[in-house]
Amino acid sequence: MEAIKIDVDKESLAETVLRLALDVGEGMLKNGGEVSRVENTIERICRAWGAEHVEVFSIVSMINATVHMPDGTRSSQMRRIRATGTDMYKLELLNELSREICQNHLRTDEVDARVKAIKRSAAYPRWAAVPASAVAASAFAVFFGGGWVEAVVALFIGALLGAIELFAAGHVNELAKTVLSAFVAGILSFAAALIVSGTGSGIIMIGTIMLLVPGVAFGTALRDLLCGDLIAGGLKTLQSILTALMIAFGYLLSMAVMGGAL
Amino acid sequence: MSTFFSASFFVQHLTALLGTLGFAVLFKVRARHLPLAGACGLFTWLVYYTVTFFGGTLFLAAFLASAVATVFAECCARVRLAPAPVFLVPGTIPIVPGSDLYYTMRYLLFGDFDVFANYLMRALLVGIGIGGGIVAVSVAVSLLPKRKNKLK
Repeated sequence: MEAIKIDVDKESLAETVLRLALDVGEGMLKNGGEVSRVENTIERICRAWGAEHVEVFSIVSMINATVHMPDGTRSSQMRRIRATGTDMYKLELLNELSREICQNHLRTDEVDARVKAIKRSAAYPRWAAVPASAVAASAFAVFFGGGWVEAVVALFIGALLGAIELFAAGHVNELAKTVLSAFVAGILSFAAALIVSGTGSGIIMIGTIMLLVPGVAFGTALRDLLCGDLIAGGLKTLQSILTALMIAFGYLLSMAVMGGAL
Repeated sequence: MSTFFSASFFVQHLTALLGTLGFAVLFKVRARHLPLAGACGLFTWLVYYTVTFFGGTLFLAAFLASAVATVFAECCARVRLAPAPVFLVPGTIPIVPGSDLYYTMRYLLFGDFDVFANYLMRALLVGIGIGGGIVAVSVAVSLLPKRKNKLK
C-alpha cells in the first residue's frame, strides 16, 4: 500500500481513495463524459488501490459512492455536479490519468497534483470559441442550402453567439443563455433579410440554430436510456427537450419583436 | 434521377467537414485528433446522403449513419487511446436535425399544426435513429473481449 500516502489525522485510507477517485470521476462528468464511463472509472480506480467493495451511482448532476478498504475503513461521499460542458481535452486527460492509476498504481499525492493540473489545462485559448462557432454556423448555413450572403451573415451571428457563450459561461443560467442566444440570432437573421432583400432568414437561422440544438445530448440521452441508465437518461432527455423549447421561445420572441417584417 | 455526385454532393460534404471541425474546436477536441474527428463527420454525412439518395427512410439513414460513426469512433479510440466521444460527439453533428427543428418552430408559430407535427416527427425520428445507431454498436462493442489491462 505504499502508493497511498495518507495523513491519518485528517483522512482514513478509504476517505483518501474515494476522494481522489471521485475527483477524477467528477472531472469526467463535468466535461462531457458518459455516466457509465464515470461509474466505471471510479470503481476501477478504487479497486486499483485495493478496495474490497465499491458501489457507485451517478446521474448527470450527482455522484454517490461508497468504498470499503481492507484495513477496515469505510467511506461514503457524494458530489453535486452543477455546471457541465463539453471539453474533450480534459476528458481525454482524465481518461489517461485513470488508465495510469489502474496500470501503474500512481501515488495518491501525484494523482492530486495531476487532477489539479488538468482542471487548469485547456486545449485552445478561450477566444477560440468565437471563430469556431462562426465557422460552424456559416458552414451549416451553406450545408442547408444557403448562398454567399447567408454564409457571411451566419458567420457574424455565429461569432456573436460564440462571444455570448464566452462571457456567459458559468455564471448565467444555461436555459436563459439559450433563450438569449436564440433571440439574438432570430433578430439578426430577420434584420439581415430586411437589409439585403432576397436573403433567406430561415437558412441563416438554421445554420445558427445548429450551435444551440441539443442534438448530441438527445442522442446520448437515448443511449443511456437504452443501456439501462434510466435515471441519467431520463434527466438528459428532459434537459434536451427543455433546451429545444427555450430555443423555440427565444426565436418566437424575436419574431414577435420584428412583427410583420417577414 | 439526379446524379449522385452532383454539385450539392461536394458542397454538402465540404460544409459538413467544416461544420464538424468547428464543433470539434468548440468541444475542445485536441488538435492532433481534429483530422479524425472531421473524417468521422464526413463519413457520417456520406452514409446519410447515400441512404437518402437511394430512397431510404430518414430513420434508416440516421440509424446507419450514426452506427457507422460509432464504429469509426470506437476504432479511432483504440488507435489513439482516447475516449470514443472525442470522435463521436463532433462526428454526429452533421445529421443533427437542425433544419427540421427550425421548421417545427416556424409552423408552430404559424399555427399550421399538420406541417408542425410532420416536422416534429421527422426531428424525433432522426433523433431516435441517431440514438439507436449509437446503442446498437455500443452494445456490440461491449460484447467484444476486453484487453487484459484490468487489475488482477
